This record gives sequence, structure tokens and C-alpha cells, in this order.
Amino acid sequence: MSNDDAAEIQHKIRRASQLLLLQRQRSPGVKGWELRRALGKEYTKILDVLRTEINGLGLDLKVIHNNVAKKVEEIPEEDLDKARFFVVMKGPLTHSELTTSGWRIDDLAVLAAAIAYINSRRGKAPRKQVEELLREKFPRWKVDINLDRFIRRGYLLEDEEMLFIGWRTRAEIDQKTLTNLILAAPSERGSADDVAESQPE
Amino acid sequence: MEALSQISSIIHLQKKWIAYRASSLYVDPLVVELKIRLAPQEKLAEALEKSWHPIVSLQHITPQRLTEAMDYWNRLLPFKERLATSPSGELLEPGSFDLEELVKLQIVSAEEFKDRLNDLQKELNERITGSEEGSRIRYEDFVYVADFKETILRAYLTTFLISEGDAFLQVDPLEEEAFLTLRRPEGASKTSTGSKVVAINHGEWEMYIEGGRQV
Repeated sequence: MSNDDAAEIQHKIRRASQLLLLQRQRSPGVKGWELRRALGKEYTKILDVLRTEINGLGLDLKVIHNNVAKKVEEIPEEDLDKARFFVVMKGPLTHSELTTSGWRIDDLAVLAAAIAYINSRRGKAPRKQVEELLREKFPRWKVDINLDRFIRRGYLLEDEEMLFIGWRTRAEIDQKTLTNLILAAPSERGSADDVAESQPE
Repeated sequence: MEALSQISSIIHLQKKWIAYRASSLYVDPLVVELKIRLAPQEKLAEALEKSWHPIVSLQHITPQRLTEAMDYWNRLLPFKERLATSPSGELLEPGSFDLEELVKLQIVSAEEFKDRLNDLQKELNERITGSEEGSRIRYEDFVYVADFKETILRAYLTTFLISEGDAFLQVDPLEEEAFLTLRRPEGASKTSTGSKVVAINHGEWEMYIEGGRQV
């Protein structure tokens, strides 16, 4: 590889990281067609190199296609233009990092409960049922504000009074780990380990 | 034959259900619901913290944008002076003109407007019929053209086509993409009068045109 080629690749990697990291619109991430336009036809190869470099920094590259997190090679080439690419933290945040990032503990609890509940119902549940569950622990106004906020941010999706798991949850949250942790959580009213143990094999 | 087909679809659904229940993602919904009801808030929040890998994004201002902002600030007249230039002596709130008012002010003629609208409708029909899908076209692919002013005009005229029922706007909430169709999208109510906002800004238009996707 000539020096010029190496310099061009380095330039494209820098450009790719700018595109992926700088939030230019309301929704984070970049569509495949934008990356293709800026980096050329073979942009997925540039992204492979970038992924290796950011992995060392505790970051990872994720792709969402049709509301599902996928690997680039799993997406048909003609659909890559519509896929959304973004950078995520490789490991979870610490409690203090999350607190300083502006998330209140009760907001996190609402989101965790909503996702786990919807997920256990194969990814969709009537909004009323989710609200009813959340109102057991939170006032009506907090439930409404939070659900609307999570829908706006892409964590949940609402259609015809049904709530679905949103693209952002699929991108950011390890749903299996979340469900397992909730099942293992001790109960407020004494031990609920027996409940977890009643889970069918 | 019909009975056989129905039995086969029931078996297919049962197979899917068994596969799902056997998968590692399956957890009894009632158990999850009970655990959510019993778990303290802190534990729910902690579970999310441990399974969350947030998207990383930066918001920062560039030196160029800062220079532009300084220029704007320097050129901006003091608030009192701007108030004095207002005919009523009060700061006017942004308003809007409807077509009738624009015609009265002779900014557009009713004839010219109708002609443009007819031309645009004809173009929309032809482009949807000739599109890959044959039933719809991406909003940007239709409205965005090389000239920004013309793009705004096309967007304005397109809203008339939609409000007159000559075209329909279909928004894909997952992909955040808007499409124009000639037929009412499935499931859309005939009587619904909801409104949808499709924002056009210069930066996105420029990116689109530079991307070589202009019409």
C-alpha cells in the first residue's frame, strides 16, 4: 500500500468517526447512504477498521436495520443505504456516570420495567396495560411523561395504542441481560427468589 | 382443501409458538410482571444500568459557526431599535398568509398557482407510476430539486395536493422516512384530519443534493 493510499484511508476513518459521533439531527447515528456518499462505495471496509480502533477505547459500532440490531454482513447490500449506523459504549456505564448524565433513578426504573414487560410479551403490549403496571409504583403524570419521552427518543414505539420495543432499545440495551437481572432482583416485600425459581426450564 | 390449508396454518403457528417458547429469550410473561411489581425501583434501575450500552454522540460548536454567530450578533440592532421600525411600535409575532391573501397582494396569481399545481400533480402521477415500487415515492426524491427556493415551492405545493386528497403522505416511523402515494395508505381513516410535519432545512437539502440523489 502506497503512502497516499494509507493517508486516504486514515482521512476516511477520521471522516467516518466525525459522521458517526457528531449529532447533526434529532436522532443519533448516520444512515448508510450518508456514509456511502462521504466515504465511497466500499465504506463498510472503512467501518471495519474504525470498529477495531474504537474497540480499544471501549466503544463499539452498531447497525440497526428494520428495527433489529444486525451485523453488516447480515444486511442485504441493497438495504444498507437505509440501515442506521452508530457508536455505542461497549460496556455498561457506572451508576455515578449514569446519574451525572441526567437520568434519574425513577426514570431508569420506568424504562426497565416497560422494556422487560413488553419484551416478555413478544415485543408488544397495549399501552394501557403498561401504564397500569407502572402506576403501581409511580404517579400517573410521571408514567405519562416518561412513556412519551421514551417513545420520542426511540426506546419505545407506539402504534394504534400498542407499545413496541423501539430501535434504540435494540441498539443500546442487552434485553436478555435486563430480563435475567430483573428476574434475579430481590423483592421489596421479602424474598421473591421462589418466583424466579418457578420459571419453567 | 380449504380445511387442510387452515389446519396447516394452525400447525405453522403452533410451530412458531413452540420455537419461541423453546428459545433462550422466552420467559413466562406472568413471572416477569410479578417480578416487576415486587422489585424495588433501585433494583429495576440497576438492572437497566448493567444491561445498557448507550449511544455515544457529541454536540459541539465549530469555530466557523461561532464566527457566524458573532457576525450575527454584531449586525443585530438593539431590541428597542428593532421595535421602533415596526409600524405598530410593537414586535410582531410570526404569522402566515393563506393563498387568498397572497393572491390579493399580487404575489401569486390564482391561475399561475393552479397551473403549477396541475403540473406538479401530473409529475407526481408519472413518477410514482414509474418508480421502482410503483406505488409510492420518497418525499425527498420528489420534492428536492437542485434549487433550494424551488424545493420550498414544491414542498408548499405538495401540501396542497395532500390536503386536497390528490396525494397521501405515508410516514414510516421506524425509518423516519416520508413517502408520497396516490392511494390512501392502508389503515388510514377516511375521516381523519391529522397533520404531519415534514421539516425541510437547508443543511439536509444540501447534503441530499451533494449526495447525487437530486432529481
